[in-house]
Amino acid sequence: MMIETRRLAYAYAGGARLGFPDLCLPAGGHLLLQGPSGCGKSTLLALLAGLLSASEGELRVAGTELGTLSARARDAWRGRQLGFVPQRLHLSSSLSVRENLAMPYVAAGLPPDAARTTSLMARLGIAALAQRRPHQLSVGQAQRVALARALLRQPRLLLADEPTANLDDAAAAAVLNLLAQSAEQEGLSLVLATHDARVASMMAALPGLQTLRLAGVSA
Amino acid sequence: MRLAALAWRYLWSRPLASLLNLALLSLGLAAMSFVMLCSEQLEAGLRRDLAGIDLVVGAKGSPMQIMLAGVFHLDVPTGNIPLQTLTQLRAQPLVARAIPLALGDSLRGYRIVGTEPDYLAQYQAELAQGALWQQPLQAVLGAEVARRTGLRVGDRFAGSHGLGSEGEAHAQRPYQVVGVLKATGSVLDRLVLTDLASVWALHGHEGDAEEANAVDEREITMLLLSYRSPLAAVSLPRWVNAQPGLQAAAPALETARLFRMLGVGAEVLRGFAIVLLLASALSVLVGLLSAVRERQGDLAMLRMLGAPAWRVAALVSLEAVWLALLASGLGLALGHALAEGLGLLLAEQQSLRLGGAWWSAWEWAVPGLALLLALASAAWPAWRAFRLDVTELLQSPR
Repeated sequence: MMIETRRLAYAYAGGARLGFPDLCLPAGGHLLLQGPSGCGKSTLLALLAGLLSASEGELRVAGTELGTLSARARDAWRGRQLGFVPQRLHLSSSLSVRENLAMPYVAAGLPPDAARTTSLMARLGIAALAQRRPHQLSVGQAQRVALARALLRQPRLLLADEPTANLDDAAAAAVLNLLAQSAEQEGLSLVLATHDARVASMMAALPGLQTLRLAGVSA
Repeated sequence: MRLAALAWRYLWSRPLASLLNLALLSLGLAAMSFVMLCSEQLEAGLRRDLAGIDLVVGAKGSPMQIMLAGVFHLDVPTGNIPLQTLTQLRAQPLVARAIPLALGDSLRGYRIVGTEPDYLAQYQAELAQGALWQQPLQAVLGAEVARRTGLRVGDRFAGSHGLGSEGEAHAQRPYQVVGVLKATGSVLDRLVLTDLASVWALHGHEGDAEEANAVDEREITMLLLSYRSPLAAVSLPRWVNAQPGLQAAAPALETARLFRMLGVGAEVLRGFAIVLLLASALSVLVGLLSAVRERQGDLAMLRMLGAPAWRVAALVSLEAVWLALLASGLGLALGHALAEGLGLLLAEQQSLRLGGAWWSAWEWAVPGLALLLALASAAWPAWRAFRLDVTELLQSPR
């Protein structure tokens, strides 16, 4: 099982409680998280990434029961098992593309894996951009750099938050294609969180795709 | 790329703010080390020049002036005293050693001092070349005098009258250089030493001794005394001051007074340095806070990529550490350069000895102080980075 939840719920600081339907995503499966803003997509993503702790229930991701891990262990687990492509890509403007791609290793306190970085850059078609700064990249190029950063440490799960926001149909299709392709090449599970209705139809052909529609906060 | 390398890149991603912080911190540290270097060198120099001299006896006048003129050769003497004083004081059982000094002439601003070989022994001076004087008008040069004037053993030179360099020259009675001293680091390096008789010869006392044996009119300028026992400190100055025309100056007391006067200057400078350092600490704090705010996304992304909170806080602190290390290097270099500059300025006036090559045992405290300040200023920004809310990354842009 890649993701398994049972009676998972999160209690907000204000007292509101958000419950999630049970989820069972097998290895090799993919998940589409749908719902309007404020429905709890971000909260579920944060729970899956080990950034928040569930108040109730069980959450197993990539074989690890996250509730039992300490904060430090969750950080290390996240670096190892989880790739994340945020909506705003958060490439560091102070650093070159190549240096941005060293960040996963800096975060873990590891020496950068030059061979892995080079081959991944080549595969994603950004090898020529190594010395560029983020502001010198097109939106598509920047997205590939952010994807490379997420894939470098060979995670088992890739979270993408609103990957198609502000993109026209062609660009949105290209991004989703790239994600699907990378998931296949790297043998990982994809979790797409979006309120974009186009995604469901564009990804309909992806084998093993489950869709989870979130409704919102329940009392 | 390591965390430290990343901190370095972040430091220079805001070059103006970093340069301002670096300049402020470096100037503060430079002022601090400059004060430290100068006061240590002055104190060490003055102590070396005191070299066991317990009392200076001169003509009636200011004890400070007598000490400055007699020990450090910085001021003009208060006048002359009879040579008999030397005999009288040597007869005192409490006096271990009495060295006469006769001043009056100079060589290009360096004082020519008529004295006895004991004066050299007082400073453990050794000859680098040649020998001591055997007869009047033979001179031994201090190391600095030899270097600056280029005079060597066998050369002749005319002393000029007075202690400045503009006096009229005694061209008919030139001195001959018979020896050059090794550098001692003391006042001796800046002196031309000769026999007492040379000074008398040039100032019209020659032959007087034979003519007027009954009343010896020969004069000296000052006497340097070493005590045989600490008891002398009580009675000897009193005895000297009771003699008509004589004044005693205790260098220990006078230098303590001098340090108190110089100390005010040092305190002002040190206060200035502290204000600079506090301002720089504040500026580093503000700079880092705004850097953390600016880079919130970068830092949260690092957390998302698996960095524990302490590593993100360390990244912010490392930026301050880089600043501290750079500022320590620059500050120490600038402090030494300032000391060297002041030393060169003072060397032109042939007064106190200062230089940039002096290394203080307290210099390690400069990087220590810089690190302490930097880490103190980084504490709050680092805490902010530590407490960063990573889930912000997941919020849609507002």
